[in-house]
Amino acid sequence: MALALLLLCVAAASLTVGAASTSVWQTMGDILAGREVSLRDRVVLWDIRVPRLIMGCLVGAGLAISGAIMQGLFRNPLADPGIVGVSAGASLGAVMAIVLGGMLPFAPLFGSWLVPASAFGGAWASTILLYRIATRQGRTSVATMLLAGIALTALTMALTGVLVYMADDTQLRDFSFWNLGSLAGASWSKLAVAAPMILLPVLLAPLLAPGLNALALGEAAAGHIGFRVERLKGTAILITAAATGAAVAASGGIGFVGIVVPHLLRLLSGPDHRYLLPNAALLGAILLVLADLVARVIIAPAELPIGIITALIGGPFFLWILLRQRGLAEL
Amino acid sequence: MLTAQNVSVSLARKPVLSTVSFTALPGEVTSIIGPSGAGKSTFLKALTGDLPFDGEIRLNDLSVRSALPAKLARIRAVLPQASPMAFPFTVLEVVRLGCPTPDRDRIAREAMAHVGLAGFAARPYQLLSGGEQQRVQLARVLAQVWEPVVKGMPRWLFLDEPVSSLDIGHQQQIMEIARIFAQRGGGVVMVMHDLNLTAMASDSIALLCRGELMIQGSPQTVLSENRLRQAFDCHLTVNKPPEAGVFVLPCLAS
Amino acid sequence: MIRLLSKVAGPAAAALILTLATGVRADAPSRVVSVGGAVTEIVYALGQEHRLAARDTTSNYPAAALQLPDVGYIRRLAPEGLLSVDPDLILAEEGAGPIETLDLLKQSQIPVVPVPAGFDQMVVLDKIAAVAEALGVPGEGATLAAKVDTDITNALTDVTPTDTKVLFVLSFQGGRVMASGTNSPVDTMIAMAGAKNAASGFEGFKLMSDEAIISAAPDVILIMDRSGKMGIEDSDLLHHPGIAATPAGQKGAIVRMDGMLLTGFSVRTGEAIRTLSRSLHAIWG
Repeated sequence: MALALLLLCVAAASLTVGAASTSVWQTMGDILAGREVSLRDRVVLWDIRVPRLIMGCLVGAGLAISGAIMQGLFRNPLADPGIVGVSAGASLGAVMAIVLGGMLPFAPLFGSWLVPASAFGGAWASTILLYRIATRQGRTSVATMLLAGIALTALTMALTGVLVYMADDTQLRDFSFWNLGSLAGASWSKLAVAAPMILLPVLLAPLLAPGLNALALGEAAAGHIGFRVERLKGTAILITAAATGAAVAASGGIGFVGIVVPHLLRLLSGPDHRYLLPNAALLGAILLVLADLVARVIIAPAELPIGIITALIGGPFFLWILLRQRGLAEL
Repeated sequence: MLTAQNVSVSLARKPVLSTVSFTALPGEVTSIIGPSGAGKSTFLKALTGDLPFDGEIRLNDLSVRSALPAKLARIRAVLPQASPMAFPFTVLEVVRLGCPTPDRDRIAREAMAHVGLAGFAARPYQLLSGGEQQRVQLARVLAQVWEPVVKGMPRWLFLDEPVSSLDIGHQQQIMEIARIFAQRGGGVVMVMHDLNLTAMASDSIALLCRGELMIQGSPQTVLSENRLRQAFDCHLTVNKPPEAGVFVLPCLAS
Repeated sequence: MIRLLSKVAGPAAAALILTLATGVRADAPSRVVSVGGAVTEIVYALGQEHRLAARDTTSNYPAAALQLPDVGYIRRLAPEGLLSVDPDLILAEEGAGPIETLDLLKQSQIPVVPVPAGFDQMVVLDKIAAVAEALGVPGEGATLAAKVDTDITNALTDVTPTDTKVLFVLSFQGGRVMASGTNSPVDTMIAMAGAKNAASGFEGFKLMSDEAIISAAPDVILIMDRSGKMGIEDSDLLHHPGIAATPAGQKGAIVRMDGMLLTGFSVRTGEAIRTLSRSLHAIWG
């Protein structure tokens, strides 16, 4: 509840503040009252800030909830969607589109959709591949998945490296910017595609909560309590791949949200996934909208990639988690 | 009733259990004993449906192989050997996990009181001692099948070495809880190491050796000196004083 | 004088006088964002810098341009940042983007005029023409283009061809040499200055192995002068195992040139040719 209110405040702040000095609230009032608004104000509010705000909420919610699910699935508070190869796959997809895009005959059909579409494809392909590798006779080994994930990530990174080597100077720049993430490309047409891809998993995720709680006891015990553990694992991985894949495709690589948010919430309100999952969606949205706000105004009229901001917050936080856990272990 | 017929299990293509047939009755405590590596825990895993097996296992006339987890969960609960928790859940949250939805808080608290953890509800599970964690898990398992008989059907407790990390007082307490569950009409099947505790608490004992069932019967029948020497390959004496019980004592060869 | 007048007669009069003084139509854009270093140089050369509202990160010449607000990297322009400087014209060098941002600008009815990119004498003239046309000063554009054309032609005539092989090192991070192959602005500039590109086996910018550098045997290492920070130290270059074994390494032949001058292909192209040619001859005669 408090988080929902906070999200509203942050959203309002994000609409109000920006490089362009537009009185957003007056513009909004004018639009609602049907009065004439200047084209520039309309574009700033309606075509830039609003879609960007919604995209920020969706991406933040998607990444945070995916992180929470992965941590529940792997029974490890340091797991993140990257573990199942989503990020590495998305990266490879993006670099393929950036470097090889010009050579493909059908590439112009995609236009600016080529990179996100390819990133999404890469995210899915690597997750499905990993899931297949780790599943034998209907049983998915989470440990195999973890190890195979490391191998697969190394492989995708090598392929990414090959493409990076082939890339020219501008392509390299494009890729490194993509890797750092940005919400600057948010538009209504992108939202129309990304919103269902992220929203559906985010809304379905809370259904996993009882199962993830049981999984904290271990897979066997979760089965003894009555959960169909294999189905639970499969659903969890699919939901994560969809949400993360779409989020990464829409905004590039944005790190640490998936780790920081669930961990913070566990400290604040306990590990029960029935509260953790919806709260993670809210706090993830808050954090990303805030980070985007900083990214937009800190060097206005230019922008900082949002991934830099989240990493600046996330890096030290991650270290703090590690140190704190060591402290607990020594108790 | 729990019946196992000609149950065989192979792990990594090596036979671990071969053609074990076994029965456990509701209202009784049935113990599975045998030397280390005899296949006790494997057998228990087959009985709870955690391992693929050949043969047939039926629990209350339900085929363990094909029954849905949710259906099995309503008639039996399983206490694992060790249960580390992934996240800092509180004791109450852990105990509630397996509870059927209505009344879960009341049942969880009663189960906690039953194992002597009444004041522990808000304590973080991860910070408890091994013995305390074991009792929390027992409370969780009890809460899952809190009424030993529902609509005339018995419910079952499967306990894998329930007293292995406990002191003598708590060992006795757990055995007491198992007996009460059986007396109220439920069935208890447990894997045990301590032969004296087993003799004290069990109505029926199954002795496994090298993946085969040597014998199943009353403590008086199963715990004979010759059979135990043969199964465990060691010197021991068995005392059966007329007033009560069976006592197994190891002897030094020298 | 204009400033004085504006105090007396108010901004409207000043704008009028300014318009008259520069021969610009009254409805011509007055808040221009210049995206691309070459474009910005041309705007200054046309004497139209007073109409600039902002620039992109690559626009770092002349030094006065650095005082303008920076709207970000040429390929990563943020729509709101651009709108915030209230522009009425965007001069966008080819390759500016992303497309989403340009689309939003068009949606806001802010004209985005593309300026060609490229690296030969003709393209330089096309760039000038495009910028002058968009700014509504075609006359000044024609004059400037003619001047630049003559300048480049003279510079090319003055060049004495040599067999000096030049290796352009774009970056030297972690001791790895990223060099320019063929089909790059630097490759063209080296050719214009009468020398040869030592790295001709590949296109664009690539990492070169030590052995590839040794077999390329450059006589001169050419690097961009980034005035100290992030710059490449001579001693680091000369101690590089690949470079040390080349004629350039043994002679310590390193030429530094301003990046924008070297690769911009804007109004200073003639100056660039002369500077590079002179530096090469100073070393190898």
